[in-house]
Amino acid sequence: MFCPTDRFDHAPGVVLRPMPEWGCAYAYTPRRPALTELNTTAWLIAALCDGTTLAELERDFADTVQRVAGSNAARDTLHRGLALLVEAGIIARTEEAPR
Amino acid sequence: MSDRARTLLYLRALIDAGGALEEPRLEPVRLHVRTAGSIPPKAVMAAAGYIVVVWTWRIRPEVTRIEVEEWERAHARELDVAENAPRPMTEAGGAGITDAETGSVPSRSMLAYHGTVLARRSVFAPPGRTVQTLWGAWGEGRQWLEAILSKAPDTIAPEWLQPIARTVVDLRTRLMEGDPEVTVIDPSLPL
Repeated sequence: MFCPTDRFDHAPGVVLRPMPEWGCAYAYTPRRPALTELNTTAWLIAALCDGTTLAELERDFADTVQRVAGSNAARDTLHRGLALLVEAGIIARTEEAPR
Repeated sequence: MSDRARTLLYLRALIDAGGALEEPRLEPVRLHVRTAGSIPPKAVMAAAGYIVVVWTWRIRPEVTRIEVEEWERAHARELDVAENAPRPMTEAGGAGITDAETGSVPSRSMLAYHGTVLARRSVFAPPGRTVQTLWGAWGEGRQWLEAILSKAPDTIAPEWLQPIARTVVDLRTRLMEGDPEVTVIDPSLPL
């Protein structure tokens, strides 16, 4: 479960190589040496993660896919994709420190 | 425009064109090295009358790379039978062949699958969905190869070729879009 203030960024050392002609991207995770193929949706989520908060991600993702998905469906898809990317070590999540 | 903005614009267009939001998916990339399927040196190929048949074909849009890899494994398994075990290569007249580079007698299956790779160049579109499947054969294997690539499985003799031919039918009917472009490389023929 993520919080709206959590921040998401590429994990340290991760190389994300878009393959636009294939409609996918490849990620190399040196910490757990592996090459992973990201489909278009996973690639979009990874591309949006550049230190952004979950709230910003939800807004940007919904905006990008608005022609093919409603805001609720977009948010659910985003959360599932983020969970996959964090688990695979491609995206790192930083919890906002309590004030 | 920044690289990020350009990427997002591209992804938006790609998703819009697809007409639906796909479930996010991550797939581990397996890197295969088919050492057993390597093509013999040119001199050995020429001496043994080794031919290489190349099918250049398009993967159906809904078929994933994982499915192609699964097909590959199934196809290679069917070829790995006692009747097709590697044996010392001979010339057409039956004389043995010695590899000039290693001095040894090369031992090869008469019917070999050399793998399916992305086509470097293709007249087909879109790129990335076009691959080349390569088989090789020498001696009696040349007739076997012709049979599995062109005949109905049930009509093929010897019988052990039939399961192999069925995997070829599976490739054509389930994975392939349209028909393959067929190229035969026969090193014994002048260019």
